[in-house]
Amino acid sequence: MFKKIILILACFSLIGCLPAFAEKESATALEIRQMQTRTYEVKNQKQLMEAMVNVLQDRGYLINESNYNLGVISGYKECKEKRFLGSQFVRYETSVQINQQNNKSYKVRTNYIKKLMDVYGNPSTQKDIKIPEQEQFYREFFSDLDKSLFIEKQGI
Amino acid sequence: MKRKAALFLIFIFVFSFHAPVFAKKEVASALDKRAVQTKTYDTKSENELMKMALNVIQDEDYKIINLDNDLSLITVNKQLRKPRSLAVKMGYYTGALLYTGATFGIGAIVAWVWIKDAHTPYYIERDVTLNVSDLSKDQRKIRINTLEKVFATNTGSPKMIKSIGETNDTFYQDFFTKMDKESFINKQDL
Repeated sequence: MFKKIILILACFSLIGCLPAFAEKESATALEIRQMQTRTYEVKNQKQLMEAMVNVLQDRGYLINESNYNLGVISGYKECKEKRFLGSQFVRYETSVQINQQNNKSYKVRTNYIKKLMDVYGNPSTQKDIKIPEQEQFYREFFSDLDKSLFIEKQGI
Repeated sequence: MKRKAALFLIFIFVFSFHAPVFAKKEVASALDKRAVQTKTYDTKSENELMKMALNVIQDEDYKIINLDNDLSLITVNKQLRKPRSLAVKMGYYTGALLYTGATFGIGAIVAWVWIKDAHTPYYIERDVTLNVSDLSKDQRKIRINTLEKVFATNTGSPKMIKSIGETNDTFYQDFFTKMDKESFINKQDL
C-alpha cells in the first residue's frame, strides 16, 4: 500500500515538471521584424545615421562597416559578462539598416547576435551563437536612439 | 573581556574603511561618456577635421579598417605590447621564491619559467572608432570610443585573454592633446 502511495506521488511530481519540457513557441518572422523595427521622423537620413552611430558608441560598440547610400551600419562589442559561477567573454554583433518610407519618415531595423568567446579571445563555434530575441533588448536600443536624437537636437 | 570587546570594536572600525571598495560602481551615463569622448574644434569642414584625425592616427601607427566619408566615420586598429607592472613582477618573483623554497630547490625550473613570464609583456589589441559631425557653421565635434583587449602572454603557451573593455580616460586626454597639436600645426600650415 505504502509503495503504491509513493509511486502515485512520484507520478504527480513528474507531471508537475511537464511544463518545463513544453516546446517554446518561436516568434514568427513578422513578430521578430516588429520587435526590431521603429519609424522615426527626422529632417534627413544623415541626422538619423549620426544619432545611431552615437547610440552605438554610447553602448560601447565599434563600427566596422558603414554605407551612407544604403543606410547600413554594422558594429561589434566585446565585453565580460557575469554568469552564475564566474564570468564569460562575449561578443555582440549588430547591423542597423535605414529605409526611407516617405519624405521625412525613416524605418530603422536592427538585429543582434551574441557570440561566446574562448579563452584566446576568438568567437567560438557556431553552437555558441545566440540571438537575443528578448523584446527588452531592442526596446532599450530604440529608447537610447530616442534620447540620442533629443540630445542631437539640443546640440549637446 | 573588556579588552577583547575593545579589540573587536577596533577591528570592525578598521575593517569599515574597506567598505567603499565593495561599493557598487555607478555606471557612467550616456552624457558622461560623451563628455569624456567628445571634443569640439574650429574647422572649416568635416573633411578638415577628418584629415587632422587621420594624421594623428598615422602618427600613432594605427591601421585603418573602415572609412566612410559620407558619415565621417573612421575605425582603426593597433596592436601593441605593454610591459607588466612592477606589482605583477613582484608577485611572480615572490611566488617563484616561495615555490623554490617549499620544494627545497627542486621547483627552481618551474620558478624560472614564472620569472621569464614576468618579463613577457602583455599583448594588447586596441580598436578605435572616430566620428566627426557638424556642430555649427564654424565648429565640428569629434567623438572617439575604444575597445581594448589585453592578452596575458605566457612563456611557451598561446596568449590568453585577460580583459576586454574601454581604455581608461587618460587615453582620451592624450588623444585630444595630440589633436590640439595637430590643429595648431594645421592652422600654421606647417
